[in-house]
Amino acid sequence: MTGMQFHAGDNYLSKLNTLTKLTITLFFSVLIVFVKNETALFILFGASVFYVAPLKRWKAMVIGYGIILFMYLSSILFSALLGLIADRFGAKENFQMLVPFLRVSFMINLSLALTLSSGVRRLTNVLKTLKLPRFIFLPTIVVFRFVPSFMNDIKQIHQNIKLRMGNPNLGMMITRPRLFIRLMIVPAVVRALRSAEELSVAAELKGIDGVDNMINSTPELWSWRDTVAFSLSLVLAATVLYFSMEAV
Amino acid sequence: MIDLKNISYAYPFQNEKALNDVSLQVHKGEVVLLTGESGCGKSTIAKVTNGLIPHYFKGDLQGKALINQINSSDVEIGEISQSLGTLFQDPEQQFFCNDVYSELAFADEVRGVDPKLIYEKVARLSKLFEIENVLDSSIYELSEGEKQKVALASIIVLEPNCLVLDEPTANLSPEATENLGKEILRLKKDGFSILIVDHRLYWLSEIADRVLVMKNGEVVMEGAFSILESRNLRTKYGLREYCVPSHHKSNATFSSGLEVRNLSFGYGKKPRIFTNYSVSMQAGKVTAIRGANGVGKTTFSRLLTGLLKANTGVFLLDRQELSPNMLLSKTSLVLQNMDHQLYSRTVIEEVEGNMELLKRLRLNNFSQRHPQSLSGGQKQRLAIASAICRNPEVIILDEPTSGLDGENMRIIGDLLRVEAEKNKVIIVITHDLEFIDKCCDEQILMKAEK
Repeated sequence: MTGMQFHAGDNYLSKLNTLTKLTITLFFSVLIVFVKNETALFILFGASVFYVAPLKRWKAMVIGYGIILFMYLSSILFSALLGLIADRFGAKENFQMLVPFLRVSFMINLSLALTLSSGVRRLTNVLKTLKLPRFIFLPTIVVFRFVPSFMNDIKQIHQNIKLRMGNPNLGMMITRPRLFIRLMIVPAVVRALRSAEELSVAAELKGIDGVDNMINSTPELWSWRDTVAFSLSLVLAATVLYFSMEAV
Repeated sequence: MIDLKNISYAYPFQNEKALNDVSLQVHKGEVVLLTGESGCGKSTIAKVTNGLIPHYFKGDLQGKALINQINSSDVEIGEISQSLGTLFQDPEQQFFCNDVYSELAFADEVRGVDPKLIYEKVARLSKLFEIENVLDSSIYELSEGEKQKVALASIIVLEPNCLVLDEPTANLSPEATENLGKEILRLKKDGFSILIVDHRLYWLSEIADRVLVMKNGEVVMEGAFSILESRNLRTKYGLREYCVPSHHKSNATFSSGLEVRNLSFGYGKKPRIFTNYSVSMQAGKVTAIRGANGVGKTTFSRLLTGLLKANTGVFLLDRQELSPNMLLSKTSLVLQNMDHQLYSRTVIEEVEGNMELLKRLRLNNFSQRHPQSLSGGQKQRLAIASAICRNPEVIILDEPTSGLDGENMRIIGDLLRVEAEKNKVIIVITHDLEFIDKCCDEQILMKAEK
């Protein structure tokens, strides 16, 4: 060997086996569909914040939660307005309306943890070993790769707005929504489309399509961290199910 | 061997042909330079050669593109890339992985190559391209020059015997360009067939065996590199200079303008990029900032505009100290990626109705188009126009001439000179020696911290 080393990262999330992270993500993605109890959802959300925290992507998390909170508050407002028009559209319990938004927040945390701590090479390796059909495998890989690329684009667009208009903030978003859409959303959409195309071309040039004997040049070993992560996941799932059953 | 036979091509929904009956061969152990003004069809030739046309970009293709006697239309792109490697103009376009090691190892992993061999290849190439220190880095943390080196290493790792290099030196420092030249000569000796698409000509005088000049989708001239010595030919086809003087422009005495005193900065816990760095840029002059790839030039431009906050240091404009927020309001920065910088509904709106400016940049015919619908070179000129029309006191441009032909480079140079004459501070971060020679008054050479 050459003595050259490759380090994926220094936090515990980066040291977890990619297969462990993928399994946890898939397992809870299915579980959350059946969880309707708010307490159980809050527990899941809290645990997911703890899970993603080592990445220290606070800004991305706060922006994500901010958008979800904005949508939640909007839904309460419109629900109340509809309630004024007709009783049958009457407002549900505000707390009850929180359920889908908590689910989305939970999934954002899991997706961020998986995509930002694993790297597309390792994810491709794991997905190849799962022998997924091509129509699932290829789009999944491109989506995983798209997340960091899109986050980088948003960062650059934000900097350019800052250069031209000063710091874009919530006030500008509310008072000048059309300008905000033009400055932020249009370049973001253009970049998203272009990135998707570029990533597809890059994937094709790497020969990702149609090869089944992929290997991993830096194989990941199973460690005590993976055992702990799996055990904690099972405890969490049991707790969540307990609260869900209680509610029934 | 690369052999294009009577290639004609029109992009989807376009009546006009981008290529018209183009034939070219690049033999084993030969380097061919393909040049011509912006939009003449050079990059389309590259896409036909590497199979992206017709596999990815549809449209009407006639003729044959043979790579080692195999028609690229008959095999998958992944298969073509094993015998022909492509370096894109924007290296980020070809990265699929998030970190440098993965980018170098990924294609071999996909093909099931022995891990020991992958490890050895990555180690050898990272040493050759001097990217060992960034192997663990995210691709987003790399400088543009480092990205170009990683991209080149990632195609060489597949051991192809044909290469297409599209503007390979657009973001490389003169020193890195010289190293790339040496590497190309080595590959040529090893029997590679190399097609280089480039506007910059000077670095290829000892490398290119033949030159093809294109115009309006056709090859109009072919010969030895010496044909480029004709001024008439260069003017007629909008080409750049065939040689560039190597003299360095010094920094004259400072009277007024932008001063930086005792600047210190580093990203997070990483080593400092600047420690007590002081420099001044004269108002009324065009100042070039040069330096090796990754030395911190783009970071410096972000500090000058207030996008990044310095750990310590003072910024003064005409002797008056400026906070980061004041810097933001008094400066304009044109970055390299144009997609992020154009927001308006029309081109004319982007320059606040200044038709005169559009005319000078030859964009007046596109005034009602959406900025994002323009070509790369047109977007580049529009972003510069947009920065100028906000009338800032300091204008900073990061590699404004990468990918520009001789004529457009002269247009941008003239525009910057006019702005400098209004007593503005014009700072150009560039590796383009020809641009520095023709358009800049002063030069700052930035060196890495020891």
